[in-house]
Amino acid sequence: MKDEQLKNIWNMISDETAAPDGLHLSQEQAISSRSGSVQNKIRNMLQNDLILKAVSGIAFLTDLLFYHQNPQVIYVCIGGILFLTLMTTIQWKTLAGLNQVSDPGLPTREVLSNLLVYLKRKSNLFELTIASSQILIFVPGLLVYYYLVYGQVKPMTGLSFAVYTILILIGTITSYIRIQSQLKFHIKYIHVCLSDLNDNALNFAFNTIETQRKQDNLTRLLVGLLLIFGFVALLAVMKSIM
Amino acid sequence: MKCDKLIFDKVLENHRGIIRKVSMLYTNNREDQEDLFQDICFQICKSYRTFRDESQFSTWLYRVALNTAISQVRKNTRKTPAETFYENIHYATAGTEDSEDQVQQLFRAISLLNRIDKALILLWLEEKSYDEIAEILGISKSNVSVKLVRIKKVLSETINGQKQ
Repeated sequence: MKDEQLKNIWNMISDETAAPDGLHLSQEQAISSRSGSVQNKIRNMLQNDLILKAVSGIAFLTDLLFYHQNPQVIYVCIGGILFLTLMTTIQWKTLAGLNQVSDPGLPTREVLSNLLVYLKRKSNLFELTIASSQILIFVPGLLVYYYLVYGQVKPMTGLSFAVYTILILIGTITSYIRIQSQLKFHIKYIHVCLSDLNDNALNFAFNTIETQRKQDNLTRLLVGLLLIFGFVALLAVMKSIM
Repeated sequence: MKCDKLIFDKVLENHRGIIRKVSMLYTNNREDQEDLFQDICFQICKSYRTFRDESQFSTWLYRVALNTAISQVRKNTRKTPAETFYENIHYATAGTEDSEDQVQQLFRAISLLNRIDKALILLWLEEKSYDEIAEILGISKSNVSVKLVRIKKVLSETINGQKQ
């Protein structure tokens, strides 16, 4: 095939036609598709963690079944289920809130601005609720393991108890840091998108964040205290039965 | 670096065809094509301030578009076979059904090339001189010449093979 023939075939492709609909885009539409991918990633992160929490719930119920004659394990399981319910409720509401602020019917800059405010306000809740899954999987999982292997809760020495506590803490803190860095990345990305839109959306978002931050401080403090109290209480009960 | 709305619209208005052709060559399905098209537009828009007058605008534009496409194609995870895409996509051509078949055969043949060879043949088909191709791809003029001879031979053989 000659060079000219190849070029003639190439020139048959019209520049203006055959472009998929999505290629006739405006700057705002392009940014919108990017912000959509950020929303989906955060949504998937929450949904996947909810699945993990559902598994934890099943494990706690299984433990209740296995250890129905051991009142102390029942207390641990009930405490765990209550803690799980609290975390799942918070996470479910966070997910619902995320869907609300990123309503596809809203203009792109409004969605981005809302999303930025929401993530800045709720980032601590995201991190805490997702990190809590570590302990919520570890404790019932360990109880199931003990039942299947030993048929009962194995008595623990001080050393093994310390090792388990350290493992739980490492898992929880690592998970917390991982989620924190992911959220920071998403927040930075939204900043770039908003800045690309060249309007006052970013300033508006900053002002809103500042106002909301003050209101949220008390809530954060309460949730943090609740989590610490729950964790210490769970450890204390576990220590008393093992 | 910001993407100015005016620049973005200007890029789209004046260079849609080039960007579309690059995104078609480096993707296997419509979703990836749209993503790559958007990425190239954004990259051009964002890098606009770095454009210096010593090179032609079209040379600079091809360089940005091809660099974006080549780096994006590494990350491409969708597994739609190239064949499916090229069979199904409707290329609006100025001619008959026969000419549409020829375009599909050409695209199918180009899809088998590696990403650097794709860039080379695209620039050659777009009537760029060897000097410009060498400047855009950062290789020597003699290297362009040697590679093009080989690529054109491969393309001809593939297209003739498809006809038989």
